[in-house]
Order: sequence, then structure tokens, then C-alpha cells
Amino acid sequence: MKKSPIYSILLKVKVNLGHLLKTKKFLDEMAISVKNIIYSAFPSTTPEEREDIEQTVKLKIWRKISRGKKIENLRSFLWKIVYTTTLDILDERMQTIPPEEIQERADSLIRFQDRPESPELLVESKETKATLIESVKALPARRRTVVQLWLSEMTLEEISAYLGWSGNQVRHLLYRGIQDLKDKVNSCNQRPNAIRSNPSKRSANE
Amino acid sequence: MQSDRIRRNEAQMNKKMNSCPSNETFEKAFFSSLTDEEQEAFIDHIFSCHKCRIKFEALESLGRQLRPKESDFSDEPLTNAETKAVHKMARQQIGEILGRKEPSVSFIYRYRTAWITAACFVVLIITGMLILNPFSQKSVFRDTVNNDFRLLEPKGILKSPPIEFQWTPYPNAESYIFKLVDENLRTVIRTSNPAEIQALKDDANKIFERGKYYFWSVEARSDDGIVLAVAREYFIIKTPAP
Repeated sequence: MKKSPIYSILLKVKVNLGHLLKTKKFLDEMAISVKNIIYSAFPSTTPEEREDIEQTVKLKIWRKISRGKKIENLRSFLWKIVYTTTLDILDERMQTIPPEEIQERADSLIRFQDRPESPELLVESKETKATLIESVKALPARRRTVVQLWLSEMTLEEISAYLGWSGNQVRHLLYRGIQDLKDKVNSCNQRPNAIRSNPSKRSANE
Repeated sequence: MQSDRIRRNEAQMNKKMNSCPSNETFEKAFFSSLTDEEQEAFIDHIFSCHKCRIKFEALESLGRQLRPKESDFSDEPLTNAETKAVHKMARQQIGEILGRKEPSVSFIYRYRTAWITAACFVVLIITGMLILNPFSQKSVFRDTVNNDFRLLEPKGILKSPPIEFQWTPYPNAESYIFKLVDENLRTVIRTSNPAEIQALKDDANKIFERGKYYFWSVEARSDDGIVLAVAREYFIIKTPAP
């Protein structure tokens, strides 16, 4: 039976088998995840390009690892590799994609109510959106941060994990922020339901 | 005073928000290494910049997918052997992706002294060859000096003025340019001759003065007039004893 290359390495140096196999599995999965994320971000990517991306991601990951120095903490080392590689690939991809597509994709990442069908409602929706963005900018710093992350499609749990704040704190800041926004939008005589009004329900549904 | 500081901070924040954060800042944001102020400025920028919003969303989404698996890895540092094994595995993976064997980094590092020594040695040899190259010396005379082409006579100290000049034949030479100059570098005779001998007329003896140096050269030329070889010689006619 032919022995795998990893097994032959392990025979030469006594190392933790789990580390190596898990690392390889994690990075393989990471390459697939990056490919899928880029595909969902830019659906115009062709199947050939997707294959290329996966190969490029793998190559970049392994090259970065092979050049690395002593690994103090495997977990944070792998996350660093994951982040830097993804950012590199995204930078490269975004240079080849028209700005309109980038804008369209970025806009779709902000949660607003569904796109209205009639032209009048579309205009109204655009105005509401503009008012909303201005209103978000006017919020106090911590509320603004939470509201912006929530509008960027993050759930309460994700915001809490990202900022390292407690769930209650995040929920409280979000409710207060949304209430401020609703007041602002109402005062401008815009449609008050421009944003969904019950974040906790949606968060639970998601 | 306090309002000035707040205004300054706001100005700094605005400045930060206007330019896209570096990839390093993105990493710091996801490692929770940003200060509260930096984090706020970062999120503000993400919310207003299309490209950065996509990058942020990609990292967030990647984290969502991979975070459940990170518990597989401990925070304990790897041993040297484990680090080496990870590096070696990375090189093998590169080789598999590229379909060839990736050169071993340790091999290059291990013999780096030998590589440097070899490179210095090669440079020294090339430099030496350039300095000692006989072709580089020929350029001083702007023509070709060939050891196979020799002037036979006259040369050295003579008792009486010469009556003929002789040299060895040169392959493929169609003519020989004979030139005689005195010690003041004045051309005394210049002729073109198909043979390997130049005879002087009887009255030509009158041109020589005893005790003075004379230099003569012969150029072997092809039928195209190209100089194939050059040779030079000198002589002096001894002054008779009083």
C-alpha cells in the first residue's frame, strides 16, 4: 500500500498527527469557502475562473505557510493566513470587475426593505435610503457602530462576537439606534417602515 | 480645550474614514486588535465604501463558515519539529498543485555559503580573464599583432646601413605595407609590396644617419585591404670608432 506524503513526513519527525491533518483539512475547506464567497460576491465569475480562484487560494496559502517562521499559535497563524489570502484575492478580483457590479453587490449587502416595483415607490425608497444613511451617520458612536453592522447583514450574535460586547449591550444599543432612526425618518415624513422594525425576530429567524 | 480635542479627534476620524483601510487594519479588526475609536472609524468607512464593504462581508462570512472548525486547533505553540513538518507539508502541497517538486528551502539555505563562494569565484575568474585577455592588449595598437608574423632583419645594432628589409610570409596576405620612421617619428619610406622583402635603392642609404634609431613596421593585408597582422622592429647604425 502506498503511503501518503504526510505520513512519510510524520515518520521522519515525531509530530502530532492531528495538527497536520486538521491543518490541511482546514485550509482545503478554506480554499473552497473563499471560492464560494467570491462566486456569491461576483456571480459573473465563470466556472473556469472559479477553478482558478480555488487553485490560486491554495497556492497562496501554502506559499505563505512554507515561508513562515516558527508557529507560536497555530490557530491565530491559520486565521492570519486565511484573512490575508482572502484579502489578496479580493483585491485582485476587484481590479478586474466593473465598478457598477461592485456597487451593486455592495448595495445588496445592506438590509433595506425589498425593492419596490413601481417607479414612484422606487424614487421614494431611494430618498428614504438616503435619509436613513444620513441618519445613521448622526447616531452616537456606539449605537452607530452596532446599527451599521446590523445593516450590513450581521445578526446580533455575530455583532456581539465581532465587537466583543455582551449580547444584552448590543441588543440595547441596536434597539435604541433603530428607534432613533425611526424617529428621524418619521420626522422627515418618509415611510417609517423603511427598515425592518424587529431585529430580534429576524435574528432568531436567521 | 476639551472641545478642541474633540474637534481634532473628529478631524482624524474623518481623515481615516476617507481613505480605505489597509488589509492589515482589516486583519486587526477581525482579531479585535483595534481601539474603540479605530473600530468606529473602520465601521463608518465600511458602511460608506463599496469595495471595503464587500471585503468586510467576505471576511465575516468566511469566519462564519470556518469558526466552528477552529476548536480543532489548540492555542499551544507548536514544537520546532511540528513547525518544520507544517512547512514541509506546505512545500509538498505547492509541488502537487504545480505538478512538480518545489525546491527545498532548507537545501538553498543549507548551502548558501557554498553558493556565495562559488559566485565570488566565478566573478574573480571572469575579472582575471578580462584583465589578462591578450585581445584587450591588442586594442592598444588598434590593430592585430600576431606572433607568427615576424620581422627578420635588420634589427638591433648595425655596423652599416641596411640595404634590404625582410620578414616572414603571412598566410592569405596579398600585400605588405612597409613603413620606416626615424626617431623623430617622421615617415622616411612607405611602400606597398607583394613580396616578403623590401630592397632599398642605392641612394636610399643616404637617408640613414649613424647613431640614430629607426623604426620599421610591416602590415600584412588581405586583397580587401584588411590588416591581417602587424610586426614592428627597430635598429640603430653604430657610429664608427674615431
